[in-house]
Amino acid sequence: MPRYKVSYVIPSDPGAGVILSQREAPRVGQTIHLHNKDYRVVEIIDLLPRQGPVIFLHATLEPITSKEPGEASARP
Amino acid sequence: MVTFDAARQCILLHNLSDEMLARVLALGSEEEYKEGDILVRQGEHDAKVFVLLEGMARVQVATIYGNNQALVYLGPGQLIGEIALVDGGPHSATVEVVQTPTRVLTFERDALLALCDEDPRLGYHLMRNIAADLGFKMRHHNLSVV
Repeated sequence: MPRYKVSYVIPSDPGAGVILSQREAPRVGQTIHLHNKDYRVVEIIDLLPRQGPVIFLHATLEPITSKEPGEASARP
Repeated sequence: MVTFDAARQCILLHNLSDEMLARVLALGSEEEYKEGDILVRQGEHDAKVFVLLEGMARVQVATIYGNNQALVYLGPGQLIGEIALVDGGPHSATVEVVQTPTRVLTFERDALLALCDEDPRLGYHLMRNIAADLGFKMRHHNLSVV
């Protein structure tokens, strides 16, 4: 079962980025709930070669500034 | 008691054999913190290393203006205090818990280093994993500032 180590970067607030390990891969368009706010995943890139079950990803987030229809927000 | 599966969520431990993992986990103690608790303080010498099992912590540094600047937030699976572990210096940042509860595995630096000396193969895996973790944090930082 793969595991994902993800670097989440928020370009509008560089210090608010998050690094964490999770069991499911993030998806472009997904809504992520962080710091009591909702963010949308706008880009995902492979950061490093896979090491065993660990997949290393980088995801760029943008804040969702108003209620929009779409996926329910998820904690990574 | 932390399961092997839960422990392997952390980059420090993810590729250890069951035997190696058991030896490392025997040195750790599970602790729980609440929002506002400080895990490590910038500038202080402290012999502890933490593996985040659940929750989240903010890494911040003091600015010349006297306030704190957040550098990154660390979630489950991440390592805290590893720079001081490998170079023996004071902590380079303050790490504050921002979520209640936040559960960690706490290791004493000297015990981990003694294990590495006792079993160089295990030590090689741990140090390589720490180096990889630091590299990942650097890559995250680089992507944050472009």
